[in-house]
Amino acid sequence: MSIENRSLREKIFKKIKGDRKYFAIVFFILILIILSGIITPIIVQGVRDNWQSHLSDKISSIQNSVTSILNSKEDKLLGCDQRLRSELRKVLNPRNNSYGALTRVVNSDEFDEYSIEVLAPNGRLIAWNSSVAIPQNDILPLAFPAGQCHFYNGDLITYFTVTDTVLADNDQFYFVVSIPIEKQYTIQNPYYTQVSFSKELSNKFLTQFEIGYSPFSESTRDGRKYSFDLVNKQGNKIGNVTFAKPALDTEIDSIYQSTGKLQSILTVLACIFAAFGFRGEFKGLKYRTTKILIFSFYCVVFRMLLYYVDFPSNIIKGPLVNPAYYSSTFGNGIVKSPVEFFITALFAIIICIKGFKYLNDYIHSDAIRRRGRVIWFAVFFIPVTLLFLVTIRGFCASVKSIIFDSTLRYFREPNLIPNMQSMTMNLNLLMLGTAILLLLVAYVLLLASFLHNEDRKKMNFIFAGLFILYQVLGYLFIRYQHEPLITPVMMFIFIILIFWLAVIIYRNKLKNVYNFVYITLAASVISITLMNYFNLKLEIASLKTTAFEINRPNKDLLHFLLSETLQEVSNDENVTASFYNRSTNYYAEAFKLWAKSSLQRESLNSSLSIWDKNGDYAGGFNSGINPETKMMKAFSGYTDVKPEIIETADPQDSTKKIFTGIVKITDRGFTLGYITASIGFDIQDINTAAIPNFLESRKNIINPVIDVKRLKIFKFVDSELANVYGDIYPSRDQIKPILNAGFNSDNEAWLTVPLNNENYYAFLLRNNSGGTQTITAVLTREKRLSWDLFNFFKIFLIHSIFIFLLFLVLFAFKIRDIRFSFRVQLLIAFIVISLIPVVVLAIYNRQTVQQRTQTAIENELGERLNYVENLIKEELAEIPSHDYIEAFNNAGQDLGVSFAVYEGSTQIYNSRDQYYKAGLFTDKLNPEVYYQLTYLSYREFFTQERIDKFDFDSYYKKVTIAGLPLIISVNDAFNKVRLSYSVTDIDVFLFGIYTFATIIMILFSALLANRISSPIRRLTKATASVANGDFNVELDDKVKGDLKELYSGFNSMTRELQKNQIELAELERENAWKEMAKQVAHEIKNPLTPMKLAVQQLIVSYRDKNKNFDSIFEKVSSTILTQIENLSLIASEFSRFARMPNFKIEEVDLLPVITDSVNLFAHEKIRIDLKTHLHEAPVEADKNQFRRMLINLIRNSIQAGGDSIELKLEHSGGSYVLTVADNGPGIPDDIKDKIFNSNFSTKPKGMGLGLTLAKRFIEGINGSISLEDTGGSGTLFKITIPQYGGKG
Amino acid sequence: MNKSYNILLAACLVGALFLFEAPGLKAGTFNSGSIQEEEAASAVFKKIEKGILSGKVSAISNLFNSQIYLSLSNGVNGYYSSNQAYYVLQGYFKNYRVVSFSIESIHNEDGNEVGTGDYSFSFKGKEERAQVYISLKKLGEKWKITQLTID
Repeated sequence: MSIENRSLREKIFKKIKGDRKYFAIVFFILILIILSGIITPIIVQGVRDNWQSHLSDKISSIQNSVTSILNSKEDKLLGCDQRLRSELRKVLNPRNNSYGALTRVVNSDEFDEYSIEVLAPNGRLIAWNSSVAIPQNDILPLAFPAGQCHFYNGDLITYFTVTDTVLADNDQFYFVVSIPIEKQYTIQNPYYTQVSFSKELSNKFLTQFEIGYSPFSESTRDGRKYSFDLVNKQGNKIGNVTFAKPALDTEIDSIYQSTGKLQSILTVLACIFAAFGFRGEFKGLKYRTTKILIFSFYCVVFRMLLYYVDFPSNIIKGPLVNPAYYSSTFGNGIVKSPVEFFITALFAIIICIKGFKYLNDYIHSDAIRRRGRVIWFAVFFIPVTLLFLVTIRGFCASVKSIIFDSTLRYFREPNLIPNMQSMTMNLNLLMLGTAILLLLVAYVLLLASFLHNEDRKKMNFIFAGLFILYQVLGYLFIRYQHEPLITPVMMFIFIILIFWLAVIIYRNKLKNVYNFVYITLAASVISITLMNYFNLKLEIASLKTTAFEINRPNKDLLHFLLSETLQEVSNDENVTASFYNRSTNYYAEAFKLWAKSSLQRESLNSSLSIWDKNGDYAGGFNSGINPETKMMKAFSGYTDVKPEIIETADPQDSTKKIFTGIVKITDRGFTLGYITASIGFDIQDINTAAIPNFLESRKNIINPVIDVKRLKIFKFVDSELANVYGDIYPSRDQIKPILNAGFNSDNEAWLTVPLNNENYYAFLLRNNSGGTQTITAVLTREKRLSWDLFNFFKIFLIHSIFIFLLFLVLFAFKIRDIRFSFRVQLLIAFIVISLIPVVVLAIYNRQTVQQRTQTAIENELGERLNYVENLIKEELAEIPSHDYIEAFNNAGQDLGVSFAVYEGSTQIYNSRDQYYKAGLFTDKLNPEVYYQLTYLSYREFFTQERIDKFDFDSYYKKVTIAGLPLIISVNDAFNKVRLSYSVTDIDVFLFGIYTFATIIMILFSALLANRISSPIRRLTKATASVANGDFNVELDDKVKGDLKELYSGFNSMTRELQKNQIELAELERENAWKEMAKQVAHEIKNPLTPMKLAVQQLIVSYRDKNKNFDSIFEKVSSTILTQIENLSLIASEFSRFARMPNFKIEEVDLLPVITDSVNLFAHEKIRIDLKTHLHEAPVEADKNQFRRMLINLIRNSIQAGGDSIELKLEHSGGSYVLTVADNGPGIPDDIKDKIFNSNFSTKPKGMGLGLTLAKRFIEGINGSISLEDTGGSGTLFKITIPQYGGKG
Repeated sequence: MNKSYNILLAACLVGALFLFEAPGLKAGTFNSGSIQEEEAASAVFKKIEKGILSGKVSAISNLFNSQIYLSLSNGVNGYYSSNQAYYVLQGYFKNYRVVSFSIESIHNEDGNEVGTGDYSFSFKGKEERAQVYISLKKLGEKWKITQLTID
């Protein structure tokens, strides 16, 4: 049986060998797809039928998983606890007692993600790190036994925490290790870091989770939900988890989604394997045109299939599939997200590279040269030119879409290396640009090839003519377009770049892969230029968006936002619960409500306040609107449960109108308290520091495209200037153009307005409402070139990373071909030498700039601190009776500076106290500052601090106020220190310029290395030719200096060698003949003697008339005949000895031998083209003889005066046919039949053996060589050699 | 004399037309236009209601302004091009599946038509509600959505 099985298996494997195995895989995949399609409904039906038992299993599985996740968190926390205890035991030991060591341990990077507090045996906090989770007073007495993990609910964050003890010299110290587990607020901005165990579980189990972080949390009574207790390792309850029981529909949906994902992956795999399967057939296709068409068709179909199965969008999550970062409806959605764009651009560039290579080969094929070139040019000129212009417009439209259909602001990215989505979009742009440029260059090359001329000067004229023609057509194309996307100047520059590339590629080696680096570099320059241009257009268009945005918050919207916020808070169960909790921090509660409301999202001036049932203020949070403590009076008549909203005056500025609303919070009919909220908008409040950056919903919502500070906004009511934003207050003359502007039917107008000797772009929006006409004018100054350069470098820096990677990839692919030749060594030396100073300079400059920037910030904060200190001291000096807290308050109000005052390590005053009251900042002094100023007695300390991902600078100083030793700190968290150039700006300029310089250096280094090493390479090649027996090689001695002597020496040497070789050959031949004559004489003598003796014996017998004459005659005749036979044998032996040496016949691939032979002439002034579609040409031959024959043929052509040789290798009828054609004067008819004769030569120094030996060699391997009729000029030899293993 | 009389008479007639007829004509045109515009806007809101109920963005995408302000309950907030808005809303409607949607009130504010309503949706198996605010602006001859808030 086993033998039968093995035999069957072998049969099967034999059948699916080679390409068939891929089809077997495809078949298997298709079966899987069909099976998944059949099985899924069965699974779904199974789930439907047994839903209750399935649900029970699922709930149980979720419960186990949640417990397991919590256990792993607990293990991690306890691990940290153990490590810290071990460290503390060392540093708290009285023998090693050092506060510095304790501070270092607590603040070490190892514990960076944890909050750590260390308490002395008396309960005093002695060490802490940057985040203090639990206030000192809440730590002792212990809520849970020491060493047991539990939750601590802070005002804004819930921590997973453990309090433990450590013994040091009989003293028991306490320490607390905490890690955030749930942030109770969410801010939608880039600085916010989400920490949410409940959301983590919701996302993992696809159902909504609620977690009660208290041992007293109760299970739900809602039958649609399921609850279970969370217990720590000691089995004590620490919380309660409630989750919505998975719904049947969601479960079924999830099954279908999983099947869909699986099927999409399988379909993609099937496509890939099918392509592998057809690889053999594809290679076997005769015509490359068919190949390229089929390949392109496959790529297009594959791309469409990917789109249809939504791959890879359906399996990846995050910013790459977010349409906000880029989406276009082009192609029905094939570029609907950054990752889809990437896939499309990838396919586009693959097709274009293939097409470009194909075109290159086509351009240099006989087909295009032999046919009527001018006719082809005439036929193709119009369609190719139209394609050229339309392709440029298509690319411009794509770049415009990249700028306009994305929320990414490529030129305003805060970091030097931007985020993933921005990097991807930049890569997409570069890929698309390269693909397009390949096409454009290919168009030009195609047209130029129709007019190909071997004369370089004539070819230059042809390119120049085409260039001028295209420039004219390009201008007309822009000029007469209805809506041109770019300017004529841009078109002019792009055409220059495209033609420059085309000429370089046409003249240089067309198959050089580094051409792709040049094209990518040019694509980068063109695409960045376009990006920059369209970004400018977007900036101008953003004036319109700004005008709309300013007019958007009308009464109706503000009313809606307030109503929505108040309704939401009144339905919030947590709000009701907070009124029952005596320890509720209403400031934190108000902040949480504000953060999740649309008040935060809209970034408008707003406030939210909580009032108790008696109408007394309990706490609040405000950004730009300070609520009046007597606000409740305005709602004295309010009794309803529904929100009431009124329009009122801003408490701080009665000229501004705001909306204020109230809602009553009740529980089972009892009033618990009230919540009020206010919202307002005024253009003067744009970009004010009312909302700090770390809380703002998105930076500059009013206009994310340009820096809002660059905008000037004027609002006119009934032709009177009513409101101004910006530093220009226009005169009546200046506003005349705005008031007299011609508005279109949509009440919009664009114009350029001169203000203070500068031109401004302006967008005007007119609004007629209630008999009042308002005009909103938004203006921005015309752009300056320096900023454009900044933009260029900012993107070029990113592109250069990709170009460098491409260079590395090409280098890696070609590494086997790269010899560490003189040229490569020179190139590496140049690059290293030029890069060292560039890198050193870049590092030095960056460090200098960083230091200066830090010093500038330090100075600015130091100045702010001095203002605060002086003002406080002055006030206390003038009015000694003043309480110093009152003095702090006055200083805060007068200066508007954010500052805090510490006594010891505790904060006693903060000018922005609502953020501290809400719990966003800790009121404990930064531990490093405490150590530096208190223990090391420094007077001042400058440091960087952070809240979530928002970094800010802080400056601390020890001062004495009213006799008290205090520490004052100022920071720029609320009003950033403005520098003329940020570190990122400097980085962009520095690295942008240096990267640009590096690329230029590499290009110049390559050029110089090529030029310097060129003579050496020619000499190397010539030496190799000599080594291969070609003594006719001669170096052009037009070079100068030492090289001229070297070349002359080489030429003399080869001439001498050739002469010596001839002489030696003659001498050898003479000696050989002499030796052979001697041998022949010797050998002939031997049979002659017996022959002579026999004849003499016969004569004597005849004369003596010997009666035995007959027998003697017979004997003598026999002897003579034997000796004659011997002589014949001797002659045959000599003839065999004098024969040609035997060939070393073996299997030889002709292609590399031909290529190597052609390469020997690479530096001679002759163009040698090898044309073949073959990848190998195996024959039976002597490799060295074949090479010698070919070199001889090429050398003959060169010596005959030809400057172009074309070798063509084809396969025909079981043989390989090699033709060697030159454009020399040809061979006269009268000697054509003599050229293969030995000793026939037309050269003065020729021996007349080359072609004779060639013929003898070729015929020796069953081939043939013949001189073909060329019909006049040139010579064409045709060599036919049977294919290895073939019938011939 | 006759000539002067005729000129005077013509001037009086033109003056009378200007003083009495023109404002009336204008008012008449305005009122009639306003009603027509309100009806057109109302039809647009109906179309939006139907489109959102079907969960198909393609049904309302031709009403998007070139720049549209979106504020959605999944955190989307800001100005988007009509191309972006198409896919942003497509993603939103896919995850926050509409259960019911109705525009409850329509009114004019500063020349813009504003509609507010309720949007009930199903998210991770749980049904929730959101307030909807839609603002239309007449650009050329067509009403375009300039703001869509589902919070």
